[in-house]
Amino acid sequence: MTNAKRFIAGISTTVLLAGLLTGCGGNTAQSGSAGNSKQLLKMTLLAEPQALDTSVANAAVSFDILNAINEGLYRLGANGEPIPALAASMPVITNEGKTYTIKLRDNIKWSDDSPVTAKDFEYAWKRTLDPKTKADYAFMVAWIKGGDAFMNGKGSADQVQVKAIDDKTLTFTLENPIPFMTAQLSFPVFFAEKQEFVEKYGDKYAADADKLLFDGPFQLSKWDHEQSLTLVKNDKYWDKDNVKLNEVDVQIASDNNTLANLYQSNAIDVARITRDQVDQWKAKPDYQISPQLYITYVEMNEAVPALKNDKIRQALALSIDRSNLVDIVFHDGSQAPTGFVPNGTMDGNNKEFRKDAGDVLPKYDPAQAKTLLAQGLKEAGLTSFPTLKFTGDDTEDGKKALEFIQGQWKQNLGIDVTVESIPHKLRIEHGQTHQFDLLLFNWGADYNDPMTFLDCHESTSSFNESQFKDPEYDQLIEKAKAEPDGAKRAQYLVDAEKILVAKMPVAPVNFRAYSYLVKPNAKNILFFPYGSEWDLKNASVE
Amino acid sequence: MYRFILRRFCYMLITFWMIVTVTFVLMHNLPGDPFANSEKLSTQQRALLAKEYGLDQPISVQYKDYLINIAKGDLGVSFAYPTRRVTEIIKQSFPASAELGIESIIFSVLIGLILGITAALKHNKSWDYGAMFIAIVGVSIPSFVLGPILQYLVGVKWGILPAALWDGPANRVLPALTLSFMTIAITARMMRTSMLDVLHSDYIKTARSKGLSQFSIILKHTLRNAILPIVTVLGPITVNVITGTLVVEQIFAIPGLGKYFVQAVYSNDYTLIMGLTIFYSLLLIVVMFLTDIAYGFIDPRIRLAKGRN
Amino acid sequence: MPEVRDNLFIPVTKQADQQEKITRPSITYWQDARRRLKKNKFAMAGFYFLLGITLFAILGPFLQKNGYDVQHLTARNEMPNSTFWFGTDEFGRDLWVRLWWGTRISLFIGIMAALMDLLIGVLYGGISAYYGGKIDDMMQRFIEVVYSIPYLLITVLLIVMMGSGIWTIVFAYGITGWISMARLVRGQVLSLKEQEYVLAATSLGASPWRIITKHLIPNALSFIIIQITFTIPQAIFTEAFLSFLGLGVKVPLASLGMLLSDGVGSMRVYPWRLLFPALIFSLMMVSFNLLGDGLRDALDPKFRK
Repeated sequence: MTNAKRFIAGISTTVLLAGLLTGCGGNTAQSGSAGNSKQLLKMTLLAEPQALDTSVANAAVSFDILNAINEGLYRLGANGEPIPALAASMPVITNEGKTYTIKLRDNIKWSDDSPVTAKDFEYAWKRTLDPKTKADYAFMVAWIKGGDAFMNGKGSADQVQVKAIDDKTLTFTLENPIPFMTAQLSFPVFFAEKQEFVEKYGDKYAADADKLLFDGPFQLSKWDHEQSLTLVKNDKYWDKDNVKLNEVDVQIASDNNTLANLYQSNAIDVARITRDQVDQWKAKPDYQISPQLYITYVEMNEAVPALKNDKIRQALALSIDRSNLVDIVFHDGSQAPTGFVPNGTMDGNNKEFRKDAGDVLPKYDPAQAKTLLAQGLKEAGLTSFPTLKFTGDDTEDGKKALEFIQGQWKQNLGIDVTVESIPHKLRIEHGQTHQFDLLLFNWGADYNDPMTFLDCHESTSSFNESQFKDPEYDQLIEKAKAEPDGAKRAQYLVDAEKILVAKMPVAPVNFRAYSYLVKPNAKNILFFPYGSEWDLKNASVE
Repeated sequence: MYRFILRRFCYMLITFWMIVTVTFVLMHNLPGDPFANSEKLSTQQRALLAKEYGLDQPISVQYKDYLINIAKGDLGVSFAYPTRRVTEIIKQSFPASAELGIESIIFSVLIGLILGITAALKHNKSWDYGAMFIAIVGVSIPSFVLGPILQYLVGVKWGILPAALWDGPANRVLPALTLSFMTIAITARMMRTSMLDVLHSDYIKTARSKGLSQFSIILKHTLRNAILPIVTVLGPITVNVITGTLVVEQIFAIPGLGKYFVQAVYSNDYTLIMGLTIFYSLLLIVVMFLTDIAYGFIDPRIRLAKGRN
Repeated sequence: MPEVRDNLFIPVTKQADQQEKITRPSITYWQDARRRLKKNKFAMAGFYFLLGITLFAILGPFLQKNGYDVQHLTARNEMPNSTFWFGTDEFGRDLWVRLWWGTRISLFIGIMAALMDLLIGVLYGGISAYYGGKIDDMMQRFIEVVYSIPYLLITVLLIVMMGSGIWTIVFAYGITGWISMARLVRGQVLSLKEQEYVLAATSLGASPWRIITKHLIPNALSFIIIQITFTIPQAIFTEAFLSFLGLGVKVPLASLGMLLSDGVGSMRVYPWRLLFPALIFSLMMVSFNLLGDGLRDALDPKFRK
């Protein structure tokens, strides 16, 4: 339908309005929860996917769709474990954990009937690294030898150590051993792209439903921008027998209230909810919590004299009642942090990191905090705590967290901070340029490993916004990066975290979780703790 | 008359140019880096992006390029949606906004007229107070409160109409109603004043003294003359509707321009913000221009007065 | 018929204060207006409501011992009760106190907008009309330009640029808010200038100062007052709208708009968090509008019977 026609149709509906207002108004969305033989699932996204190009996609909303319409060499299972997808089997890893050789499955096809080959992977990864592609997630592909140089415009595509040996065999060599690499190959940035197709559309590649190729469980049949996406079952998918859904209708809606209302009126089958809606639903079977690999902490800039003292930083951290904070500010299943690495993060040695490291973060203790503050001020030669600025995102979560923590410091330590909430982008800029005193920082994992939460406190890291500097810590992180042995590596990381506890460069305040409402008849929707939010491959509606 | 139109057209161009300039200046003072997830990009990638969007050029060159591009009808590529041109986004999203706007204007003019006429005919009687009270209530509840309440009551509790989304005709009712609440009040007030004006004028007194029935006075003389000034509120109504869509589209998950604007501001999507501001302004300027012209045709006094200027 | 001679006429000594003495004291206009306003029950109701709300905004927070930002973590989301008259929010903060603080802020923003109207709008309109000619022409072109800008979009941009806060909101509103006032004052002054009594006063040698203070201002004043009763609620409304977009005043302070948009999120579970702010907000808006309408009826000679 052309825009003009749509416009005319729209106006003509106005005429219908009067009738609808007085009449029965039968056209309501009452289907959905009742028995559904059509295998139609109604999902929502919080925002329009910015790009469905696997190289440049950079947000969960894009990953969700890409996971449905495409597939990587591996796909994550219910417990986050990699399961061979387009790969025939698990990779053969040699060279001290650095070289991977992967065989592709037979009969894997693009939606244009051409086969998916190892060349498609090699092309896609090199395209992602090419600075001209401007891919946000190129840094992951740059773990491959030669990738970093190419991404930074210093090397060339030929020097990147990824190669299709033949149509069915892909091999690549990493700079350092990465224990979680196989699982990471399920991330969209490691998906395949067909060169001929990408080049045919150029700038417009992946801009619309008809400018995409599919090799996953679903095909994107319709994409009304900023409104909805329609997915239909992909009959050319190698594992189509295990795909139960015939159609997925994805609506785009961002307002919390609206989502809850849509869910309650059966217009959608799945909704992410927060705060007050949780109170309304938490006793019902629809309610589910999905813990995230996501941490929120207060960065304390060590360039500020008062914050250079360890004891003062500890006092600030200890005076925040974390369990009340997560309950009040987030109220969505989020947990009070017990360390610097969230629950559920794997240690690279098949164990959960928090189980290795234990509850290391000191408990909330206002009295102790007060003592520490007094001692710290004395050590720093200060008579009183200066009025510092406390900056955070201007999102609802961000503002509420600022309010809460400000109140805690005032009530427990008697210190005043000026609260400033600014747009997310600006907050990032302030952080990266160290233009802040205290800053509320969110960090979501891009891969399931403690490293993503720990190497940002290295003195050389561009994410070391609090300007923490500890040679011992740097050393441990560097050792862990080069260590091929999983157990040793995990131990280095546990030790590194202990240094953070002692020095407290940042004060963790939240391990994030998401709350979902899922219609009880919708089964087998997987919710993930990082990367994409959900996976529908095996989902069904009863 | 032609001179009047030509004159207004020139003003329109000047206005437009000034708006483009103001927006351009504001835009380049917006804090933050416009690239999505930019903290993950390498310096090389960032430099390339800046070059592609012309951000490495001196500001005067950027301004010149921008003016030239606008003259060509090109608003650039969105920063946040790199595969889509701003003009494309507007073309895709405007129909929903326009439809919503037109429906709500129809709502507000119809209801506003009825309320305004009732109030004027029963001036200073309880009908007047009643009608004006309804109109006033309209301006006392913000749409972001009214919308969710309607959505819950009508959409969820009673289940009469869809709570949100933009699928069929039934989806239009609640957002259009929410959006028109504010403008109903404007129209009703305007109508009341203008009706009162006409009712107190000499020719109505003459008509009445001729013995014409109340009904035919209202129909033949009063209404026809009183309805003219409604044209003048079309401008303010359009403004209200445009700004109202920012909220209403968010609440009812409508794929329109307003939703884009709010998101674009938060994601520092420079080209999209500029494009939308310019588009909205142009829309507004054209509406104002047309109402002026229309009013000039309708009411010769205006034309003469303007002509003398 | 007696001869008319010059000496029959005795020149009166010039008495500046009697040159154009108004027989009906100018106060009657206001007395009349007040009488008419008092007869308008709705307008008076609006007036008294506003008086009450203002009083509570000033005194309300003192009736409770809690500060607007004190968190009672053991008394979260409490229903209205004898300790917390309007209940508490999710931080256990006293909503009674927060509500009246919010009203203060919203009223303050409204009053600042009104001042802006008086300062910029009246001055601009007055100068434009008083000098007329080329200056008027240029100033009018400028107004036309500003008038066509979708002001809310610019406001949003400005606030994002400058960071949110009370003063930013006031400033952003001030940039465009004065336009209607300037247009109104210009129109009034232009038409008043042509009035016979002004002409009479001028020809009787009244100074411009006297004309402005005795004729132009008192006569335009009624329109200025009416306009202000609409500016204030409009500014408060704009602030509420900005709050919904997340561009309100700085936390932990809250304006009415912020309490409203917060309340909307929790209306299903904790309805009192929406109810009280919505009640006060709407009451305020209705009151301003009723009063404004009443004033218009009372002050605008057109509606005199």
